[in-house]
Amino acid sequence: MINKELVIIGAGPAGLAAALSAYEEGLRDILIIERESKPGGILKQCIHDGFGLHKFKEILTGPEYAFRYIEKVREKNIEILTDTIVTMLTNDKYIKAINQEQGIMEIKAQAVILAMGSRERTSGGISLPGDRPAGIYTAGLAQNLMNLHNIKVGEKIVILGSGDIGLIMARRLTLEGASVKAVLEIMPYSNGLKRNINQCLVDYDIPLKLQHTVIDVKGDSRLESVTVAEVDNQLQPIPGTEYDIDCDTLILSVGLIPENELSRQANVQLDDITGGALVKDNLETNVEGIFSCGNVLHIHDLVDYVSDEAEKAGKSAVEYINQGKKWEKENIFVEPGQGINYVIPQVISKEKDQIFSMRVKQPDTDKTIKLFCEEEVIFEQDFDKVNPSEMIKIDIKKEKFKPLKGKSIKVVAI
Amino acid sequence: MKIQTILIILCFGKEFNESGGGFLESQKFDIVVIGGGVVGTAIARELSKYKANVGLIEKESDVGLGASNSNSGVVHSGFTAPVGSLKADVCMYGNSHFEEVCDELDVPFERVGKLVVALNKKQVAELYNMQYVGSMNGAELHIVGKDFIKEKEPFIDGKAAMYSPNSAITSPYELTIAYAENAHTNGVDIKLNTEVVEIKKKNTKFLIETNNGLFETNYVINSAGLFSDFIASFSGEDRYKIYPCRGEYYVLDKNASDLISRLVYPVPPENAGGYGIHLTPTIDGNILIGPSNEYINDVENEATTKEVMDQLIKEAQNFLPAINRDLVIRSYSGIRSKIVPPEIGGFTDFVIEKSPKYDNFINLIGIESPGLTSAPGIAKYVVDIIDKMENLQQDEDYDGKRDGITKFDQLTLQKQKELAESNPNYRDIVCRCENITKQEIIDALKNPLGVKTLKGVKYRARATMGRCQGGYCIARIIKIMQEEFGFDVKELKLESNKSKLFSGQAKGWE
Amino acid sequence: MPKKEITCILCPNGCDISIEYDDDELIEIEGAVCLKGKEYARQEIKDPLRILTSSVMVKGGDTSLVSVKSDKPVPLENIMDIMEELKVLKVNAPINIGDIIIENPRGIDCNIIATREVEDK
Repeated sequence: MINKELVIIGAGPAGLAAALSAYEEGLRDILIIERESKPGGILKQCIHDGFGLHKFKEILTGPEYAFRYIEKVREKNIEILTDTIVTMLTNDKYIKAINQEQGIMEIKAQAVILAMGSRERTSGGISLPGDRPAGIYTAGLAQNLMNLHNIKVGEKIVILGSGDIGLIMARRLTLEGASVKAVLEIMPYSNGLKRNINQCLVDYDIPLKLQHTVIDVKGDSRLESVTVAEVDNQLQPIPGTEYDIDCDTLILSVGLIPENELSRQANVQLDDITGGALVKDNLETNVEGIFSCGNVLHIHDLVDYVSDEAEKAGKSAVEYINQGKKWEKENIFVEPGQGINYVIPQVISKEKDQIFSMRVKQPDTDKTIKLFCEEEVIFEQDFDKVNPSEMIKIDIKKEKFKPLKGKSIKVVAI
Repeated sequence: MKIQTILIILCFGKEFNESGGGFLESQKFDIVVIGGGVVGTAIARELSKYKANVGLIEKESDVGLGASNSNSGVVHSGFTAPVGSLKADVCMYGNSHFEEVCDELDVPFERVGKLVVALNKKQVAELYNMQYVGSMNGAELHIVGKDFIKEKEPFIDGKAAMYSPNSAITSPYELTIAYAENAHTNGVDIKLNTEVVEIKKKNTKFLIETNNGLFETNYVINSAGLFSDFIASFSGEDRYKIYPCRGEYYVLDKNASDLISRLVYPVPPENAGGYGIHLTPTIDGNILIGPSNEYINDVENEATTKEVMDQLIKEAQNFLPAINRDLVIRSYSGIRSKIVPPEIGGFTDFVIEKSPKYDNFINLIGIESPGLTSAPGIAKYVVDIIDKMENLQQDEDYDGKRDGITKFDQLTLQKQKELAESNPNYRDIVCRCENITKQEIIDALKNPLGVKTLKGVKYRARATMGRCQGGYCIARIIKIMQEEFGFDVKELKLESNKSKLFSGQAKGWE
Repeated sequence: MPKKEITCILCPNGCDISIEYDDDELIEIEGAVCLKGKEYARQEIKDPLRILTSSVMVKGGDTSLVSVKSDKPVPLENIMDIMEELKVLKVNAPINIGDIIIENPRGIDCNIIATREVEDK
């Protein structure tokens, strides 16, 4: 049995930032476990730019952003076990991991930071009807194959889902000589950043079809065509609007799901809406000494915010290792209300300044986000425009919470 | 020159191949089985117990790619077929021998039991009817009440149920592959990617013309499933027509596995409105919802449809309210070989008989549920037909034992440590969702039948069947295929020869 | 008079800028909060520039590809030309971040630099 003070599962942007922050708090006995051969997580395949605007005031590509952290982790000699996969995590912070060099390892950690990131929603997850020929790929897999393995998935592409990954792949595939016929989006608005719509679709004359979806997939061995239809406000296909698009590849960019299988093993309580853990303001889960940050906690759109969140998790883990469990005298539960999809953290203490991360349910303009505690507005902030695809961060000082008598806060957007 | 040509023809038995336009060599067999589904491969394996030169012809790139890999994997206890029917006979034989066969072939098998659940008084009455018929067939069936249901299956709503303790589950595709591999080990020549074009009579024998050569054989066993009517036509058998009936399924995330432990079926619905769909735990730990029932025109249309998928969820929620769409990780469909159109419906027996014209051409037509359960019984039945004509001799070299791929995830920690210590490929987890190691992927690709497709890996090693559906492991499996087996990007296939996975390299000369 | 809507990418504000122009000459800009943004908008009408990101094959490295980018924005209309150049290029390991892979591809004023490191096999 190997004993460690802090084990971080995942050496992506979250794991790396958490490790550095823990180191800066004075901790030295840190182990990062990473299943890929190299650290960097999903950033390794995000070879496009747009990262680091907040954190470094520069526009960096994914690998460059990752390197900023990898370099420091190396400098500080923080241990990363690559090509190592965690197969078990218990709520006692017992970890079973396996790699080629050491075989099966058993580790007992004082604190664990969950930084496993997310997986993609699949064709099964959206009940994609039709045949099952070769040529249907999720956007992340297509990106991985192209950018890390030099494999082009196809030549005539249709993309379902206008989230950033789909938009980026539209451009990527076009640059490599494929023909992207259309990007389809079931909602009346796109999920992706405006700049990506411009630089990935408009630049290359790729049509974006809002309120459209794929209703049939045809192909015997390899994909031959998809049938597309317009949808109504209830997302149901409108009869008579169907048409076929000839293609050999269908790329699905239909959402990310936090990868919490290990968390479940450890009896970490999950939030149905985020798919990630229920956390306190120090990012600790309901299991003492297990913390969560990054995409495994909730899906982020800016890696800069992942780093901020992970830094906090790192600090909290060290605090826990040094001071043990802190019994908060009065916890307040935070709930999403009208117009708000989710808020993190879901539990806060009255004694601390708070940073809330949240997403609205629908795009809108001139909205006010309010925090209520038993009918009383304790905070409000105006926004010119709000978008579900852009995470909102709100800072609130502890003075606002101290006088509260109630047990819960509701966050609304009106 | 002329003399040499004549000698060559005599030695190799060349035939004039009309479609090829020249003299071609034909391979000679005593018996050829057409169709590599679970029944065809079961027959081939049964035949391999005897001294006979046996061949199996399969048009797809692997065995079991028809109905054999897209059913519920249920081993029925035989209470639905009428007493004395061929279906009942082979099904009961199959059920009682299934565990033994799975044991010999290293295929998973578990008697989980089945509950047929009644939601109202009328359905409760129906339960008693079913129990009567089933008992006549020799099945052990009990009528149980609400308390039993609540205790055994707390998530199920029901008034009463019929409990069948002998109903079991297995992995239908693993079984088909195992049958084929054991047949192959025992001398059966399995020809994949080989499609029958025509079958002609040649004296007392048959000449089978395929896209992959000519085969001359004494006996033809037509186990071609959805195409059994087409193959049967070459024997002068034209009484039967296959009416393809598609069944769609939903596969649920393993996180939902606690919802049921046994097979849970509703009482079959009276009207045509519902499907009477089942909830089936799979031997791998998922839950299946389905199948639906839809007569279709295209015999190979394994698509799934939105209407059916919506209907499946709705019906499942009738007696398992905890089910919701978020739990679905995959949908697929299988096609049944029905021999009567929907207007007629009702019970039809298996057709397993010598063709009207030729005693040595045996047709198997309409092998739908309980085809999987019946496979051992059908194999015995068919071999008996031949034995009566040929007096088959036992082959002492026959070895019915087959070992499948070692499943790392199912070993004890101690055994895992031992294996991991001796072989670095067991220290490399490729499929994260299902805990499949690199060695298992390599074993799958090294399979005796020579199948080297992504689906071939899937059905042998289970990789890509988890909740991420290959999102993580596909890239790793591809790497193994390239590095360990030397495949070029352009050669990698999903399933059939035309199902190329990729268009080529992103960078570099083509 | 033609109008164009763009989103400025220079800072996290992501200002939505409306541009009215006539024959490549800027008439009016609305929505830009700073001078840099205005300049970006002007450039967009005249000659849109983009940072190019792609990958290049590697020989003798621990990966088969190195991710690269142009060290400054290049004209959108030249992007496919540069991609042609990168398609058959092969560069030797080891590679450090920032190493120049190719200078002035197809005569365009920029360098293609590595955005990751690649070690020897």
